[in-house]
Amino acid sequence: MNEYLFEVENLNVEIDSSHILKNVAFSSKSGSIICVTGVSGIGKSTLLKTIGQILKASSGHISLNGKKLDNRALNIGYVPQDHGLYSWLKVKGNIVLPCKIKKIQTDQTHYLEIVNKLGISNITNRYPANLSGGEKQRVSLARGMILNPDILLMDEAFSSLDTFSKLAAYELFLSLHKKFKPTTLLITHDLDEAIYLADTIVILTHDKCLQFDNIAKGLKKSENNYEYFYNQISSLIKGENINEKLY
Amino acid sequence: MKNCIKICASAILILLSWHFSSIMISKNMLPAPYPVIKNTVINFSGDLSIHCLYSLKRIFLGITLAASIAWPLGIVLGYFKKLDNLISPIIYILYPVPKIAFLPIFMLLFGLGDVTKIAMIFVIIFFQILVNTRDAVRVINPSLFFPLKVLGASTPQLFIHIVAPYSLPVLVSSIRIALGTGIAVLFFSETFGSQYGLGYYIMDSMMRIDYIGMFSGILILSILGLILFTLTEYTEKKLTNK
Repeated sequence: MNEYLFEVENLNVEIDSSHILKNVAFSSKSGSIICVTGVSGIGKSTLLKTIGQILKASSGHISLNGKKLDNRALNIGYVPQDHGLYSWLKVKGNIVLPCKIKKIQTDQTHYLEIVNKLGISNITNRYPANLSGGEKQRVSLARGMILNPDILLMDEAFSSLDTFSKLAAYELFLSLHKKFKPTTLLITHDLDEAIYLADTIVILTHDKCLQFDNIAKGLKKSENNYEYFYNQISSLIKGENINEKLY
Repeated sequence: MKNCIKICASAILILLSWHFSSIMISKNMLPAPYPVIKNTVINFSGDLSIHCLYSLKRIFLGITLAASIAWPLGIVLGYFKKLDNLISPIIYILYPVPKIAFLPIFMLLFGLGDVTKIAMIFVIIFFQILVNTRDAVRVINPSLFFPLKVLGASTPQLFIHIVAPYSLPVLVSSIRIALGTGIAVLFFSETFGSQYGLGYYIMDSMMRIDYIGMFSGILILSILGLILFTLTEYTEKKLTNK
């Protein structure tokens, strides 16, 4: 148990007397990428909002490095599906806003490193309305990373991008993650995306929460494994019985 | 630039219509534009500008007072639904009442001075800003708050960084919409117990059968309205077209 430092234990969430999440439990090493997937309406976004403390859990426990999650004590970054940029602020204003919320000075070196890595240093004086979808996505990611977050929450962050922008965004995200190592929870409908990015995949079903670890290393080595894994997860989501222990 | 050309073209069209109407009617009560414009230019350096400043002061104070109360109140009501449920019935009762009906009440309460006139502009613009701001804040997409809420942002921080800037264009657009009615009511209220203001100037000129002076007042009032309307429209565009 000690090797897993990000833990969600028996998490239950009720909204208007409706049980949205039932006994959700998973854990992973801090600094890993956890992709949460499952069919629509299963509660993936609810899980993300609960971890981000936007919603309150009815019961259960979320902890990082043995300490209960507290968004005032920790830095949590959030990258929404629709970019969530503020139209009245320029790109730079959007990126550094989390620093204002936390009432801290923006670390200029860190800021420059992020905007340079994401290739948005030339658009920091523009308003979001004048950006392309890919640029908005990168700005949103920069805002999520500006505080060097302990936890990065991404709610279908790549889903609005076209295939080419998506592949570029994956690489940018992975390079940023490699450098700053935030524990990342990525909600996705896209199994390819989950398998490509994740260290751990969490699948939410109506009555279960299944976890598969060490994904990236195992899958990148062999295409056959990739297909096998993809089929196994697809079957599981469709409700077929499979052996949960895949590796 | 295009807008400027459009406004100039419209002004020329209005002046031409006015000119031909005055020729057709051929009575003192409808003077031609040229003597009116000439009289306006001559008198503006004199008492006409003082009347204009009085009206402008009343409009400015009325708008500022209304905006500084109605905008934050609209934000709070739009954000806190339970509070809105409590206050809304009062707004629904007062909002449809023709605001001109408040004039005798204000005259009795505040007398015939500036306060009554400012209060009239205040009530007209107040409800427009309050209702529009509240409605705009109500429909803010909740996901807009998430990037800041995960950081533990407090409610005042959400107000300052999201709700206020989001609803700022609504504030300006409400002022723009209410401005026309505000100026009309100001004109009306300045005809009672005033010695300064464009409403007084116009009515006083009419009583003295100085129709050129009367039209000069109307011309200045129209220009004042146009300037204020253009200013608010420009500000609104600047705030929304980013």
